[in-house]
Amino acid sequence: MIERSTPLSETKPKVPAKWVSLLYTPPTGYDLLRKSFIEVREIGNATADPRTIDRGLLFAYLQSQENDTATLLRVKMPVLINNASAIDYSNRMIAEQLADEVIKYARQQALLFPIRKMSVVAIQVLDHLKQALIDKGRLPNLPIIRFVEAPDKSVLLEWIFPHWRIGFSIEPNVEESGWFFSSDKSAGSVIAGGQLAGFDVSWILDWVLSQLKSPARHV
Amino acid sequence: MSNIFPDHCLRGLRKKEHLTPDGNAIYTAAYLPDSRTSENRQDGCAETSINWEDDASALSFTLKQSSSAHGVARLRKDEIYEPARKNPALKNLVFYERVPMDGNPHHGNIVFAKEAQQHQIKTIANYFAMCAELIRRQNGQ
Repeated sequence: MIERSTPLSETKPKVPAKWVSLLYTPPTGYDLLRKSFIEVREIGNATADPRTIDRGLLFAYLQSQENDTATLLRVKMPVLINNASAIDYSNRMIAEQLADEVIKYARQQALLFPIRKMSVVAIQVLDHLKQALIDKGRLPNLPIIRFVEAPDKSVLLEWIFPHWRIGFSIEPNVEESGWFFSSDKSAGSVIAGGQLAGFDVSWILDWVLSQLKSPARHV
Repeated sequence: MSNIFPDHCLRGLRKKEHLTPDGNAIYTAAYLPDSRTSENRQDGCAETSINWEDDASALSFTLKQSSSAHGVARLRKDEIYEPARKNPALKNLVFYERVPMDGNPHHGNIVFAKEAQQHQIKTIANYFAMCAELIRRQNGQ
């Protein structure tokens, strides 16, 4: 049972927040993040159904609380505080939400793609990308990765930045699937590519995401 | 029509899937070769059809073609050999040619070698898509 020492309405978000949320993480830590929402209440006249979870509003709220641990720290939950600081927790939440925004449309299309063996590879690539993004922490304002059905029957996952772009091709013969990267002069003038088979997708994503450390390379 | 190659070639964007939803960038798919064309070539290569921008009329001519329903991608000729210059693994996998057709003296091809593997074709096409300038159709074209 969760208790809170301070009414939630007493927290002071930097921007108006219609919803606030209590978060509970089990003793195992972050693994069960998705199952960890326990309560969502509305500040105002109406009372929300506590089973209702609106991740978009929750995300907006957490953003508003960026430097304010109030909500989470005021939860009387020693296990929570012992296992993860509230700031880490909300940062992780935001990073996950941001990463999800990047891949979710492509993932939806991959799920609907009729050729299962290609769909599976596309989803694996997207999930690797999402995890790599989460591990990098909060990277806002990233473009969305796109799912494109090419005329040669391949599927292309394209992630296009102003000065560079990376893509993954999922071929009907999935063994021939590959990755490709190009950047212009301002971003090193690189042309690279290779096969996906036997290749560590996380490595190439890590390498690409390291390019994001330079703000000039993704604006 | 001259047989020399001008500085730019034009690729019609036939499908809306050749452009990002915001219409600001060209996808790799726009430069992928048509694998069916290899059947009609002795060298087994595959063609990405283009028009050479021989003069000012070539652009308006290309924009009026049905294959340019979503605009035209304009690529510097020098970029076609750039993948081979920058990445030895991509050497000798792509070249260009002029192949005039009835009613289209500007026609040519970017040609992908038979030996090119799928990931190499995509790497090269991705580079072309990044470098190309997008020219939109105006009303009435």
